[in-house]
This record gives sequence, structure tokens and C-alpha cells, in this order.
Amino acid sequence: MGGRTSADECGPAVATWLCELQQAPRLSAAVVGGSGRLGSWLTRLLTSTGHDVRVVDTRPPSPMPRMRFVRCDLGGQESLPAGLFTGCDVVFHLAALHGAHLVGGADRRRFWVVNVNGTQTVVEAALRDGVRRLVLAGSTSVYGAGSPAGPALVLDESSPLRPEDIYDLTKVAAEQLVQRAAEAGLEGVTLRFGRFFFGSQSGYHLRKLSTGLDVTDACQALVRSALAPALPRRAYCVASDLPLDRADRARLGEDAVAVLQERFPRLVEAAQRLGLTLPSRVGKSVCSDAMRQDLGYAPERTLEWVTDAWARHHARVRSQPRRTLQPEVSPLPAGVLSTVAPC
Amino acid sequence: MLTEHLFEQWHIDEEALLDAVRRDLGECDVFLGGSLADDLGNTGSDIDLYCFPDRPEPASVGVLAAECGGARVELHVVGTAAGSLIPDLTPLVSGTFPARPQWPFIPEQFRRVVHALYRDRALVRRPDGPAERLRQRTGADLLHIHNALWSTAAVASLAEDAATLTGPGESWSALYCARLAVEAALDAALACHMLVNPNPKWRVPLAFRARLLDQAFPDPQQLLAGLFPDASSFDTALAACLSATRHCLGVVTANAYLAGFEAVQDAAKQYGVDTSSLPLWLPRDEP
Repeated sequence: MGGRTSADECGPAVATWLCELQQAPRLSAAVVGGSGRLGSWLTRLLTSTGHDVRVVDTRPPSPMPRMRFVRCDLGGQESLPAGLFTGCDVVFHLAALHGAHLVGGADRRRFWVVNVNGTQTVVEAALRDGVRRLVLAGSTSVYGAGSPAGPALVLDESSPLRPEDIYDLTKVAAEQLVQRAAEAGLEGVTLRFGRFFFGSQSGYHLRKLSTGLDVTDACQALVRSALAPALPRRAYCVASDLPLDRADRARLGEDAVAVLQERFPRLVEAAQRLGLTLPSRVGKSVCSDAMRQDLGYAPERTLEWVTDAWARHHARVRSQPRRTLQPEVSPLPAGVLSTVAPC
Repeated sequence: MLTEHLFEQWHIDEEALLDAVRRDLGECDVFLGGSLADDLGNTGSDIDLYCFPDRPEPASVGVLAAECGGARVELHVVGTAAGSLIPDLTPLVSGTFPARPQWPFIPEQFRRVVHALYRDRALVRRPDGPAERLRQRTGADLLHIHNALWSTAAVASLAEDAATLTGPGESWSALYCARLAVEAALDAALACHMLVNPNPKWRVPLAFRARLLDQAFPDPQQLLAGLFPDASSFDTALAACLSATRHCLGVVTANAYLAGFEAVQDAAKQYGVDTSSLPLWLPRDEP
């Protein structure tokens, strides 16, 4: 099956990965957890670029074309309906209980039921229905806490796992299930995502020095994992990280401002103009280099991107001196999506 | 009986109870343990409170008893040094399905402490308090994996023992091994449903509960025939034990995570468990 859109039709404003997604042969994808925050963005992105999506969740997402909803509770005893994934090129398994659920009073045992037994259910259904590839949403929290002082821990795929809480433990176990499924022919990959934050808070963006991840970049990583002809690794770290080398990442634990001053002076200036305090240090830095090298991942919403947004905001505030706006940056990839016309 | 209902029946004033605990021990995290943590208690039960004080304590688990409302309260004081005596369970998931020699083992005197943390019914909990630190350091949330593995290993060992008991007059010893294997296999199967009360007297009530949750769990009649075999016929009793054990191991092998451990696969093979219940990616015997 050939591509559906030529490179010229994509236009210069469209990010490369979106262009690739639009040009790719029509995909049939299942998004388990497709009504959640990341899942709903991924579903909207895929359907708006002409791909077909089956959303599997306990509640339906907003209606959209080329989307079919299947109600299913991974925390229940029943298996997924026979043939649910038949014809799917890829299954994105994004459903999980998170730390917020724990804070909200969720029973710890539910974490094992949903995150591990639920993954087993999805993996078995994918194998049964002949799916080629499964992408699991993992977490960089499996590496545990950062360093309390001194050099920052530089986290990549080779770093030792130090799961601390029930979320981490169940995420590691789910990864292992996906890896085992490879022995039966299912191409499984885990994307260890950094921490999501709300984009309208400046503190969120500063987290990108450590583990922060924007939903747009997470979608890019998912798309690239689905489109790649082969997956050289079983797991990838994914963050909206700056392209720093390992030595500089480690130095972020000693003097983050000095590193930024040397490597990204515009960022420091922009923060100063807005009266934002940059963190003096971070305890860990998630490195997405393997994802960049193997799958062409290029995070768009790094702190460099934020610098431009802050600069625009600063100019706006100067022209309207009576307003005291927070430096807001839209968390939504709506601008990105609007540049992609459905085929 | 639901513990909340029992507390009402006993007229327990939770705040007064915790004030009394604080008077004795100072600020501490307090978790419900024992049968009440699993809603298995009755009006004759004690209230087992596991207290994790801030101040340094000896490594042992001390017990203080007191009357409160209509119930007897046992305060189990868990010293901060207990953390160094309870093994870290996280290697059970952070490695790649480690072999038996690498499995951490929880000493008997600390199983109830880990169970209290595992069940997580806190009356007082501070996010960075000693209880949460102990949970994190020991991977207490993996108690069910620990129990399932060690119980499955016991099932396999008992089969080996029984196989050696073939001499004249040893058949009853073999049957005894077979009966113990049912208990261990049931513990492993219960652990798959995260039912891990350390007191063996709750094994049967928990099995009934598990059956309500999962129809693939052995039915009570089959279990009871294996747990309490009719000794009037050796062959029938042995068959009942083997049948119950096999069924329980089937529950364990259907759990993809546990089935990833070679020891579990080996035990299943040893007992001739139907491999159709194994996850699709594991090797299975030809029909």
C-alpha cells in the first residue's frame, strides 16, 4: 500500500513526524486507554491524519470520524472480546493506574490487577488476533528517585531499575510481560515516558530539565514506534529533553543554571526577563538519545521551544503593560493538528 | 465480617484509640493487620495494630495488649531497625524472572508486618513516615508474588518427597505430603488473587472468596476433598489431593507474570497441569 499524501502536500509548517504519519499507508490501530489524556490526543491525531482507530476504554472518548469505541474494563475478570484487535497493525497500550490514583485512595492491589494482569490480557489478545506490534506506555519512574546532591543521575535504557512504589513495580512487571511476548512473535516495545505536567504552568516546563514530557512529544514517540520498520530495542526513554551530552546532564545536578548559561543562554535570559527562577539543580536527567538515534525522535516542546513562547509572551506583556499574565504556553497540540488536513 | 461493622459493634472510638497509642509510643504510623485487615474477623477477634514509631526502637516486633471498647487490642511495635531484617522483594520484578536461589525470603516473625503494609489499611499514615519508608525499602507490595513463588516451590519439593516414599508402610507419609502440597498450592493460587493472609486458618474462607471472584478457581468441594482427604481409601484420598493441587497450580500458571518463572513452569509440568492455561508465549506440551 503506497503513501496517501505527498511530501509537498504536507507543507513546510508541518513537523516531519506528522508528515510521515500523514504519508504513511493507512494504519489500523487500537488505543487501549484511548479516552485518557494521552490516549485521546493520540486518537485524535491518528484519526485526523486519516488512520482508523479502535478505542478500548471504560468510558467513550469524544466522538470523531474513523474511531470505533469498545467498552472494556481491564480491571475486570473477563478477557477482551474475540477479534477485538483483528486487522490492527499496532496496539497502543496506554491504560494504567497512576500515582494520582494512589493519592486518590485506590486500593494498591488494583494496581497489580489493572497494570499487570490488564497488560497480560492485552498482550494475549494481541497475540491471539495476530497483531504485529504492541507499544506499551511505560514510565521513567521505574528508575527511582534522583540523586539528592552532586551530579544528576543520567537515565537511559541501560540504567539500573530501582522501582520504589506500587506504580513503579507494576510498570516493570508489565514491561517484562511485553518483552516475553516477543518470544511468540509480537514486536513489543515499552516507551518509558517522563512525567506529564500541565503546560500552562511555567514550573512544568522547567521540569523538562529532569523528566518532563509534553503530550505532543509523547504522541510523536508513539507514532514513530508504530511507523518504524524495525525496533532495535525493547524499551526507550522518552522526555521533552534538551539535546545535552551526558557530562552536561550530570552537571545539571551541580549547577543547572551554569549549564544552561553555557548551552542555552537565550533560555536563561528569557527566564530572567520574566522573573522566573531556574532550578539550581536537578537530581536526574532523562536522556532520549536512543529514541532519537534509532527512531528519529526529535522532541519539539523542549525548553528551547518554551524560550520562544516566553519571548513572545514577554513582547505581548510589554505592549500591554497593565496586564500581569502568567507566561502561559498551550498544553494542547491543537496548532499542530490544525496544520494537518485529514486525507 | 467487614471490619468497619466490627468496629461499630465494639464501640471503638478510633480517635481515642489512636490517642492512647500516641501516649504509649509517641507519633507513629498505625496500620491494621491480621484478620481484620482482610475483613475476615469476627466478634471474638483481636485488633492487631502495627505501629511504626518515629523514635529508634529495637529490631524486634514487640506486642503490647490493652482493652478498648469491646475488643482486645494488640499493639505490634515495629522498630526502625526491622527494615534491615526484612529482605527487599523488588528483585522479584526488577530482574528477569530470577531463579529460586535469588528469591528473597521473609522470616516468619516479619510476615505479619509485611502483610499489614501490603493490605495498606492505615489508621495513621504519613507520606514520608517510617511505614512508607519500610514499604519502599522492602517492596512490601510484592508480597503476593513472594508467597506464590515460595508456595509453588513447596509444592514441587513435596512432590519430590512423595516420590521417594514408595517403601512398605510409607504410603501414609506420601499421602501426608500430598495433603501438604494441596495447602501450598492453594496458598499459591490465593496469592494470584492477592489474598495473602499469613494465618493458615483463613485459607479456606479465602478460597471461598476467591471462587466468588474467579470461576476458574477450584470449587470448595474439590478443595475440601484435597485438604481433608478421606483416609478410608488411600487411592481415592491421593487422587483427591492431586486433583486439587493440579487445579490450584492451573490458577498459578494462568497468571502470566508468575508463569514466567521457570520454577512455576517446572512445578506445573511435575503435576501434569494442563498447559493450555499457560500464557500464549510460553512453551507448551503438544496435546
